[in-house]
Amino acid sequence: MNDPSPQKLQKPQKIEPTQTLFENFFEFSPDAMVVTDEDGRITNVNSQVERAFGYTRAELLGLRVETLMPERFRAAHPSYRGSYSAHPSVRPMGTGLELHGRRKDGTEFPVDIMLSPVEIAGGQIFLSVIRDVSERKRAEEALLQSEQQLRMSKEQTERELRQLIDAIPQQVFVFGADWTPLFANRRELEYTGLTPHEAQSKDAVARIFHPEDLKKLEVLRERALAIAAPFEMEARIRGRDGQYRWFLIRDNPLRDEQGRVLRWYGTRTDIEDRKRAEERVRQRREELRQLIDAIPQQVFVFDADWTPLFANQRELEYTGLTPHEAQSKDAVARIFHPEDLKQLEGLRERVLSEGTPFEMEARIRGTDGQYRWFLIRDNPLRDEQGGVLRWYGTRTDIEDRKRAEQALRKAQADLAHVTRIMTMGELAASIAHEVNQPISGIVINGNTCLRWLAGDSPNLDEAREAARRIVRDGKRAGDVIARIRALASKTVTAKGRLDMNDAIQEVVALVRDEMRRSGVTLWTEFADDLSPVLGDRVQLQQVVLNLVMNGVQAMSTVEERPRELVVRTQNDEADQVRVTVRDSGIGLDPEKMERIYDAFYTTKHGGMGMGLSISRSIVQDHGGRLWAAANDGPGTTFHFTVAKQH
Amino acid sequence: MPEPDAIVLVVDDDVSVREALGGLIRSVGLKVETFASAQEFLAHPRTDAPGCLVLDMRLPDLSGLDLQKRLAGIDLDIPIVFITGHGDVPTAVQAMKAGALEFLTKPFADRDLLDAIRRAIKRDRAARRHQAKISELHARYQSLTPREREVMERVVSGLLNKQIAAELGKSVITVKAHRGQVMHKMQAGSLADLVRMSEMLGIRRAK
Repeated sequence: MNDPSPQKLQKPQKIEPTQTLFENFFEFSPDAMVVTDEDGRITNVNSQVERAFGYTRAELLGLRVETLMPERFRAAHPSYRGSYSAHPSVRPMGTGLELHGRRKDGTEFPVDIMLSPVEIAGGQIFLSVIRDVSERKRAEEALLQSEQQLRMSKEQTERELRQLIDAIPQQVFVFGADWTPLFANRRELEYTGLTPHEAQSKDAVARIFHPEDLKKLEVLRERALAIAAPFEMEARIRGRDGQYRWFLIRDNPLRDEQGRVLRWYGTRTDIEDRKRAEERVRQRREELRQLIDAIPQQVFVFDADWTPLFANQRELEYTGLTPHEAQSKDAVARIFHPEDLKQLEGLRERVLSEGTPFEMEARIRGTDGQYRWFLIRDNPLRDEQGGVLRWYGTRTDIEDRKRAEQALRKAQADLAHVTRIMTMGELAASIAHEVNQPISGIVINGNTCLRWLAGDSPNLDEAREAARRIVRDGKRAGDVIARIRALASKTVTAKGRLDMNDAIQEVVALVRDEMRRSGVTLWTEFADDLSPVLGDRVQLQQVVLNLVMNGVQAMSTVEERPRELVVRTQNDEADQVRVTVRDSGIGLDPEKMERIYDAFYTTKHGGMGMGLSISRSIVQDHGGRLWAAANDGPGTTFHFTVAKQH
Repeated sequence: MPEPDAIVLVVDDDVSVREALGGLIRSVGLKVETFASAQEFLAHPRTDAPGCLVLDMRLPDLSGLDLQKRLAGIDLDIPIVFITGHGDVPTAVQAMKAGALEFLTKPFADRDLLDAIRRAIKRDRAARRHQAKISELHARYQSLTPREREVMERVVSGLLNKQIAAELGKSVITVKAHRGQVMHKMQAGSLADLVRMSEMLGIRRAK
């Protein structure tokens, strides 16, 4: 607007020094100055008036001063002027009023006006100093407005805070230092059903806290007050429905500069659901623990290096170890059978690097000092890199199973023995023949020898030859008897390195006469490079004998083709030696193929039906299998495999 | 003509028994040849000498009885002494019916076997002699003319010369001459001699 910036000022004119100073002062005053006479006519104005009001000096001279006022004030002004003239003084005009100037273009602007009477010869003139206060007014207004806004926002904040406090899902309190409630949010009232009056009473807690928790609260409050420290507790608070729920109580003190408590700010948070969840977890954990203690196994958790971290009750009960002993790393050394301990340590060492599960059977000593067999199983828990973090282990008592297995094994051995004896019974004539042959030879040779020695000129060479044959045949008879005794004996299973060709050859020798009697030609096709197997000679011979006898039986009614039995050995794939016995008999009914291994199933007249059942058990016990297949031509071929010895 | 030495043939697949028998038979001064199977025996060229066969009843492939049958089939007449580990009666009967000379069950006394062998050889010798005689007679018979054979048939049937002459439509004199030739060629000393010869030759009067 009319900014009185210096550069816009007119340059001072050269005038008389005294005169000039005053004139300059008037002319270049930063305020607008108007000089009026007693009648209110303008007699002089300075340049600021020209600029502020938009008139030229010439236009204003002689005009009434009201010209510079808004029209609405013009009518009243001459009377004010009159009263001022009567009591002239230097004072602001229109004290307490808002004064406005009016520009030539009709626009208005706020002004402050100072009035000052000047005595001159012949009367009085008035000097009005007019200052444009637009800027100041605007600043004042702005200030006012901001003050108002501040006030409004403060109220809103308070309202919002209040709403917030009421809205938060906690009960919020302010207490006095002695826990007199000063404030409680709406939620407190809603939950407890207390009236605001009740809620503000000091015994409010006594009404709503569970008696057990109330006592604790009081103790805690006392202590908190004494040390002016926050406290926290969990307590049951009764709701309006009469049901208690768990809350987390938290009170924080507000202290003065001396550290004295002025206020307590408190919250109560509903933790009922969390509590219930916790309780469920606790219950479940307890159940799990009981379950772990109840299961009929010993259960362990080990560290990666097999330091026991946990052992269930059953472990302690069985071993009689104290929990402390059970948790020591040498616990196994105390209770494992020395032989098995070595194996366990070897296994643990091996699987530790591989991180693979392992399984073994071991004897563990119980409280009674007796060892029982257990099945040990450990499984690793591994981290993402595959490193072992934990071992989870179980030990299952398999003593009874072991005993049953042993009993079963013995029963099977007995049964095998019985059937072997029975088969040998069938072979009695053949076996007798095998013994009889060398004995016949011995008798004849003996007589022959005596003949050569008799008379006047004995033939010693021939006699020696006969004696040599006696020795040979005697040995042969002895061998046959030894084999028969071995087959008939009731030895316990004893596996060893075994050449199947030899074993089969011995069987073939025993059945040779049986073959002749049955009109069967027996061929052997033995692999020269047959690998040795790990087996029980007698049991495997029993299998061969059984298959050979079955083959002979299968061919007993065959008349129209040769009765041929071929026993073959070969190295099979997968570290097995295979023995096949092929006959040219009547073959097996495919429907019966499945049943032939059943105990007491027989197609033979007078047979007991144990042969194949036992043969299969024996073969399986040797890590092999036994099966039959129909030949392309007539007859059946039985195969069985035995694991090679390594 | 002196007879060649007897040879005992032994067939037994059991080496103990086979060699023992060989030794035993040799110890009494007899020649012996041993075979482990019937096939081996059949494949071996036969020496023309008296003897006998000591045969194990139960042999692989071809049994003793089978071999006996086979030998009968090719008219190889040799006395057989069966030996067996199992003296089952039906087999023994079968063997004896088929002409076996002896059936011994192991273990047997060596004397029994040797006696049986000696008997068998003796029988073989006799049989061979008998066979030789028949062969001789047969050769003589073959030297007769057809007319002479007609006359011989009638002579040994007991017909008189007159009856023969009538049957053949010849004169009695002619018949007499033929009869003389027959007696001479057959080397028969008497009518009884000729009758015995004709019996051995199995000559019957054709009707």
